[in-house]
Amino acid sequence: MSLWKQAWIIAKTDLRVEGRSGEILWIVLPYGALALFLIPIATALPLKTLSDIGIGMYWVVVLLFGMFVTLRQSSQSSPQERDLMRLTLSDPAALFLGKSVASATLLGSFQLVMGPIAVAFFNPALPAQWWLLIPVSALLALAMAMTGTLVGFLVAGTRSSNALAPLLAAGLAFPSLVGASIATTKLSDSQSIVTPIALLLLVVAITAAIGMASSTLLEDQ
Amino acid sequence: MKTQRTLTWLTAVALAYGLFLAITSPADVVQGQFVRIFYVHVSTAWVAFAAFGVTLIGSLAWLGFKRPILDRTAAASAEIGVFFTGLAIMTGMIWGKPVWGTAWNWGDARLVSTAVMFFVYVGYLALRRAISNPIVRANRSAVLGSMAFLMVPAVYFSVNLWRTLHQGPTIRSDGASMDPAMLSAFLTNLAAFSLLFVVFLITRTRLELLAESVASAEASERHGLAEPDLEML
Amino acid sequence: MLAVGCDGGHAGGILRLVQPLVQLDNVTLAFGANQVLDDVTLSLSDGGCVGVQGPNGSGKTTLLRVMATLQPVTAGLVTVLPLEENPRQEIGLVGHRAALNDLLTLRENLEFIAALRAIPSRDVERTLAATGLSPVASRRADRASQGMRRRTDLARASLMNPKLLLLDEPYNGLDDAAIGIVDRLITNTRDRGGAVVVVSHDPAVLARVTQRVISL
Repeated sequence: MSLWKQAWIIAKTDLRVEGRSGEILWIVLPYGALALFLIPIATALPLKTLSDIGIGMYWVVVLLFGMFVTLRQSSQSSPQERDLMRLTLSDPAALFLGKSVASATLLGSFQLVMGPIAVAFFNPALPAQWWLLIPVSALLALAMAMTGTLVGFLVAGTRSSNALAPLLAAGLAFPSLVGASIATTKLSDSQSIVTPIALLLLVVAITAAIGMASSTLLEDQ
Repeated sequence: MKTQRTLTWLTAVALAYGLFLAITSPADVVQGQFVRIFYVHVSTAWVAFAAFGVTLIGSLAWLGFKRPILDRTAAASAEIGVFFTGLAIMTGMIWGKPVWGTAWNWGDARLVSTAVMFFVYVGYLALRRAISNPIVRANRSAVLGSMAFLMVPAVYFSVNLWRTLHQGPTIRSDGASMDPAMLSAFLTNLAAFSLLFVVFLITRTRLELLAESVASAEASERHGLAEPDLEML
Repeated sequence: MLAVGCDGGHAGGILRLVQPLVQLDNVTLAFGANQVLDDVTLSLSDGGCVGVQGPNGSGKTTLLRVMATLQPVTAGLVTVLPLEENPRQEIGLVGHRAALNDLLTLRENLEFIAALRAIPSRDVERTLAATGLSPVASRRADRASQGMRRRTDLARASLMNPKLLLLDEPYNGLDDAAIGIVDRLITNTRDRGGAVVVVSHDPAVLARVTQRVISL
């Protein structure tokens, strides 16, 4: 069976498991929304300033809480399940791809919910071509999903993996955050967003290449 | 050992000469005497980049050849890189306060991205500490070391991407934008700090090898097997 | 040095030159200072069934994982299913803990693996029926009893028709009907020309189902 077909089966199953777990819907989303409320309370910033930084805060919440999406409990496998996958898959890269696609889908959904919340409560000045932020968000979701999946493989079975994974994932997602942030700034200035899009595509390509190439290597526990 | 001793002395001399040149070089027209911090700040930043580059090379080489010395070198270089990154940030803040009026500027892309790079490699070291199996540790560190290097070009090119206070490149393809005496001081310090990196790297790698040998000898003693030979660099 | 030659061939003392399905030569495995396997040599041919016994911590499970090509060794040579293009896909490993996703039903756990192996869903239903799981197949794994979870693991192994079947304490916690499932699984594998390795701390079990026993 081809790598892509197996990856698709893994992605579908991962999404089904998350649907039953409800971790994103009932825990991560409310947590992210809560963070959006806590920041204004803690900083006591004027409304105008909050409006100015609204989109930026949204990206930060997506970055930090998006980590919980990619590193969610429902995506974790027991050592026995990991052994089973190693014996079942014709190409271990299918696991990386499948989990990345599932995480990207969930992250995209997370952004779809958080975006309107951020707009509703912070009333940011949206760029005229605000709809161009949608492909930016999609690429960000894909980049973060791949980064998070790779980090998940790196920390599997290690001590302190619960704390170590977000530290690694958040840092490595920095270039993606830069791309999204620059795209927002350029759109606000009515400039072309080709450069930040290219940056995000580069992150996706490099992370995909490293993730797939290292799949076999990272199998060993 | 003799080579290392010679190298260490050479480094000490180079650092001393670099310090001398830094002190005696002309003051900057705009920054005055504060420009002297520049020689240390930029040198440590460049060495940090180089250190992470060595980590990248060591990581890729481990993936290809699976020799323990490669993993040790990658890890040692990452440690040194973290140290020099911290030094670069601190000296940058010391320099920034009198020159920019603020020790830290959130709008400065290079400053912020350097700080993030620092945390990424701290995470690399944390990952190594969290894995006890040496082969698994080497494999995973190699993958992370390869990926983490993406931060280096991100930091370097950040000044081109963002509106920033940070100084642009000092040495460009169309020639340096610096007084010859200052350039001489800068290049000397760069060379001296590079030598310092090499000395640190050799020392740290040897230390790691010795620590592994001690641990192995202790384990062999517990199991009643013959003691292994110490493999010295 | 532990050396066990086990041709596992048919009874009658016929000398056959066969390519072993599993060949371990002077295999040693150490995790740091901890020596887990020490100079193990064994050979397993088609139709054979070997038992592995030993006290806790003697390396039984690790030996199974070595044979499953999931655990690299420190020294020695490991050859598993040398004639297969993709040996791992011909190995079935049933650990002492079920490898199930708790949020999937027992049926879905089987369907997931079947989908990855392009096994038709009718085979899944047939396997569920053969293992007595049909009435509870729609139950989520985390709501299934330990016995049901073990049966599902065994059902999955049966579904995959492995050439090399590795069983780690397969009879633990099973009722008589489930014991029969394990016995059938072993017999079917051997009859198809495959080989089986059974780990158990119970000498009586090993004496019943295996031809030779290795003690670690």
